[in-house]
Amino acid sequence: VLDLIQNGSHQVVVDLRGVEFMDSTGLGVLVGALKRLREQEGDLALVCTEGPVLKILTLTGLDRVFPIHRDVAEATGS
Amino acid sequence: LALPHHLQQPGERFALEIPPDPAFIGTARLFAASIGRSFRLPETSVDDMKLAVSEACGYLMVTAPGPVAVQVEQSAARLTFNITSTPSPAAEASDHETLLGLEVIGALFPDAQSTPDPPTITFSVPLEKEPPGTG
Repeated sequence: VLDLIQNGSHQVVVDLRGVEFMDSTGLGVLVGALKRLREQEGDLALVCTEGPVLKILTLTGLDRVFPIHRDVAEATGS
Repeated sequence: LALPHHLQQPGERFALEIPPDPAFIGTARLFAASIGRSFRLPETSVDDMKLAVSEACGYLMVTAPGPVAVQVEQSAARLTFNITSTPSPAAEASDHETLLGLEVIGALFPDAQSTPDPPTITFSVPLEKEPPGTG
């Protein structure tokens, strides 16, 4: 993600559907990336539909911070 | 890790100690998941246990760096987790933001407690009765 930002991407989508586990350390990475992108008037969207990853996003209230989509096409608006 | 039924008696204890290296937190998660599955807890409960153990180990490694012991004790109706750090005298605690992990544990398990001396995080998981005709 940091490579994408450094290479000039301002709109980033992270597809988390294959991620089976994430704790607050992983959330911290995503929040850090989101903060950098928003400083550049960009944004970071997540693709996440169910399971433990969506649960921790909900528990921490970050489901209201990140745009969350059902698939990449929806996230990119294509 | 698969626990034979004769070991699944009230008062049984299970323990794992890991070095203060985040690379070993995955081992603690596997330990928690194996115990949860051996007691035939639903996968959602197993996922919650993995997350809470992961957060507890990560929190203790940052705030009280030292070997971390994960102990699980079975009572008649619950599995009680005690995650404790033995801080190394030479290690320095980080001021890195760690409170989110504690909040996650508290959201998952309302009886979760954190005590500073010794640095310990405790929570418990209800054991559900098996449906009739299973096992």
